Amino acid sequence: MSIAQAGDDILKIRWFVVGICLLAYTPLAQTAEGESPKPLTIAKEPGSNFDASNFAAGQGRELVIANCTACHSDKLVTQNRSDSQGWRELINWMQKKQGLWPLDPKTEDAIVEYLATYYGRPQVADDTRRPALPEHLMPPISSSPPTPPSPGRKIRD
Amino acid sequence: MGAVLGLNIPYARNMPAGLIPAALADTPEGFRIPGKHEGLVVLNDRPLNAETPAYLLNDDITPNDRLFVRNNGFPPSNVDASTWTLDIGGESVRTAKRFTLEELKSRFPKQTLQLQLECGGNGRSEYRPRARGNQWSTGAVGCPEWTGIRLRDVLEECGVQDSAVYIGYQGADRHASGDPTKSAISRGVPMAKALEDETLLAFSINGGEIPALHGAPLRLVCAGWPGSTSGKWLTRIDIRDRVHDGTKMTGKAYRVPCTPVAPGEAVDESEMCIIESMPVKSLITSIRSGTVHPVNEPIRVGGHAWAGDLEVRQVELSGDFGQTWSTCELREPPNRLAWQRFEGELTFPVEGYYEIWARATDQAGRMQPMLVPGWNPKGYLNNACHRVAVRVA
Repeated sequence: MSIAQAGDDILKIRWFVVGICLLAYTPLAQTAEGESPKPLTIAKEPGSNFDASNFAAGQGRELVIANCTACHSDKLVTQNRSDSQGWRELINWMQKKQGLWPLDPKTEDAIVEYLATYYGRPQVADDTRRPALPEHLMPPISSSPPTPPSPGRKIRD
Repeated sequence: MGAVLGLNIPYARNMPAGLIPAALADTPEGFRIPGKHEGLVVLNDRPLNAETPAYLLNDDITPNDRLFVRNNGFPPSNVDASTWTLDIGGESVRTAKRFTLEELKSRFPKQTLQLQLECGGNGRSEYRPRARGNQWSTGAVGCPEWTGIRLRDVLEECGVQDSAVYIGYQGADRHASGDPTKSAISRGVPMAKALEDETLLAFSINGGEIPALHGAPLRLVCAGWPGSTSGKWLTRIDIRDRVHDGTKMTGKAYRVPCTPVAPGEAVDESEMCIIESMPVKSLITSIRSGTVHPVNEPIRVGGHAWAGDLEVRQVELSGDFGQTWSTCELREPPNRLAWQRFEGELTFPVEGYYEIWARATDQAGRMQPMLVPGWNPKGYLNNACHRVAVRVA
């Protein structure tokens, strides 16, 4: 079964990746400080031409990819929202329970800041006891000829 | 960046054609899980978790390709049913025994039952403040037909001591971190649930082999309880003299506050209680949300209702945001712990935007709320009434 097979391959290279991540700590940490962000130059394997992550562009992105996606997909992160404290608690929980390796404080701070910036808590409008149905479950605005979204549509969000 | 490419290239190279780029590239569209309907929504591709849109769940018996996927870790590879064994042990077993799959199939009476499975976190996406984890909407539920043997028959063959409190399962899946000493998940149920007629050791689904993703060659089915109690790739069951303390039994996993808390309130682990039976719930499956429907033309509304360990007594529909309700026709379940078909009809005499709401009541009189129910830190047990949006024109 292909999925299982793929999982197996991940496991085989897991410790190799841990090594890469540890080696990468220093340059990554410097990047996180905002000196001069420059991409790491670990060689791509021939034939690879895809970007492994849907993470938002921004300072700290590489750190998040390097430290988070060894165990799980980017999707587990990007579908969630939290504030700095929440993201930090989650990281600490993963270290305690899920086998996430230790992070030096600078790295952890940079990761938390990135996550709280791009995957932060939504503003007040989201604090509802029952959210509106999501956009993809909504019918057309009206049966009249299609028009640009009306302000009325926005109110429901 | 380089590190992640280093990670993912080998992964990608072994994926079947058509799966690689979508799984890991910028757009989630097009990610297709082998053996699954293309309409399933992938929430997480590693570990793989995917839910089924409500309109794809209209079958009374959920086909394999439409059953949601919930993984805590990685499924085992190289599963060989011919050498597969199940160990029964634990503090409270009289005689620990090992069974081959063939022995289980041949020595105990076969049972075939329609049993619904729902993830404890189904509906999590509606909690505010948000609860972290896979953001399930409504689709982490299904009701396939399972064939297997009663867990009770096997436990009784080994002997259950009076000290028995709980069973705990072990599976062959692996922890997402790759650490071989960690288990991905190891949960269980109290003896009373374990010994029920409908608690199965299943080796077949919908008349065929269980797909690899769903626990082949042997899994538990503890219908009506959080899906995580229905362990997959089963290798061992312990009869415990205490509440099972395996992975995801402790801490906050699959637990809710023992007494209700305010939204966002901090809850100590010691105040969290294990989820047992799931609450009453229903799903409209005959209409796709977002439909346009003509004025004054009756619209048939069908779907399924279920209530954890209990039966559903009534299902009602509202087409006016809960102001008026009409009672549906509700079928008896084909067997205990199967979901029940409901059918009703609504007519909209005036054009506009409407939502069709479904609300089920269980045999104890408990009804689905229209608002999201009691907030809990992990976002479990959202059984708020299902809503389907319709434009009447």
